[in-house]
Amino acid sequence: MSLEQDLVARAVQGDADAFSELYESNFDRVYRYLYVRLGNQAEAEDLTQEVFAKVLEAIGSFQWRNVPFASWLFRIAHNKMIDHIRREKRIDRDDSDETVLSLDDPDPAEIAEHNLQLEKVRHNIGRLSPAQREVIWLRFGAGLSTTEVASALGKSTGTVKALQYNGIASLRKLMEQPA
Amino acid sequence: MTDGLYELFDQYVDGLISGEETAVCVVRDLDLSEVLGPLLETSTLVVQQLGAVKPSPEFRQAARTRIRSLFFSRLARKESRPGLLFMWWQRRWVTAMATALVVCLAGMGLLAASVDSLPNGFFYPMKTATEQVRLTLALSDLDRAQLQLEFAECRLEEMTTMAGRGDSDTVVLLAGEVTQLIAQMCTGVLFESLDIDSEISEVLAAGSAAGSELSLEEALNTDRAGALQLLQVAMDSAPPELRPTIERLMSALSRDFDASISLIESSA
Repeated sequence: MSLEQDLVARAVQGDADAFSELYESNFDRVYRYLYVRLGNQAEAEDLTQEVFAKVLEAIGSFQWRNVPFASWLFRIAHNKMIDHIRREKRIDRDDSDETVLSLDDPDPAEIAEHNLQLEKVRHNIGRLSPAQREVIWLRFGAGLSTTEVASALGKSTGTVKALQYNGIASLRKLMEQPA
Repeated sequence: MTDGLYELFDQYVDGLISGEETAVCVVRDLDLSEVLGPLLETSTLVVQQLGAVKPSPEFRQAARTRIRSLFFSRLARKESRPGLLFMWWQRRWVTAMATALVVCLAGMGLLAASVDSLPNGFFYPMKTATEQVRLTLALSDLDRAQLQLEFAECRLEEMTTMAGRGDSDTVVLLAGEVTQLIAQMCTGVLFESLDIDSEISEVLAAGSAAGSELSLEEALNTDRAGALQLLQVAMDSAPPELRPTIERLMSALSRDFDASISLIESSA
């Protein structure tokens, strides 16, 4: 049994320390995934909390069965986000606020520059095909491994690798186009 | 060939995500650097831009506190609502074990000795174990709620006594236990129709934050306010038989917290 499997098994049994460890190791990437998808800090914060509340509610029924924990977690995050978008009845792209991100260097000019660049990246990822952008969000936004992305999306690892390659190639072309 | 390229690119992306330098990646495969180089440059930009997105420390702290209190709130609810089969099994065996324990202890005079014991006393664990047995053996949800209130009142008395001895650490712990007992009662079957999970979470979160940020007096006042808030909500939908006990506990809360604060201050 791997370290993560052991941790998840303990969390499923209601072990507070194990749950806390899973929470801490996944919190930032769930927030990042939701933020880059929604482009809105307040919404990303609300949904991050909703995701972990859902995880807490459902973890008792989690069964390993070769599905990595991260895939299960990001399916919840993805579903929460889709529900949220449906509730808000809006298109899933380019709906950003002008939130100042938490950067290590608090220089306002640098933050503004970064926000502009981030918005450009987000905007162009939003123009990729749905399958390509979902792979890019999960791989680059959430930092999931190819196996985890494949499991979360119900695709083969080969397909995910192809989508990733072609997605980045298309993104490069889009980024080169004048704004 | 294409599959090999996808595979190789994926390995480089793995490296990038884990913080490896792109240049190092590309140099390793000079023949492919012309194809992969530009894509890795774009990948690096994406990793850098998206990777810099982080939750604010304030949100991280607030979310951590909320999920922790949710965790314990659910745990309390789960413990107060065991499955029917489990209840049957548990009651059957615990009755037998508890009876045997009580007979043995009563024979030795230990049970009586444990009733008045204090948190730092030798017999105290026996006292709390006996309370758990009584909760398990409670014949109805109303009886269980009565017992939880009775034990909360007992913790208040112990808190005042420990305050008189200047043991502020134990006072804070006991104040927290009072809130926990009341929260457990509120999440019981008797109050099922009462949707107060969020209030319980807030109260428990305020209590857990109190220990680290506030003075002892402020922390105790926070615990008292939280416990009173929960009791007030419970009072509105409590069965008539339970209301006098809730009222008595509300008076005891005001009285014993005041007494404890003043005793701790005078012993400081």
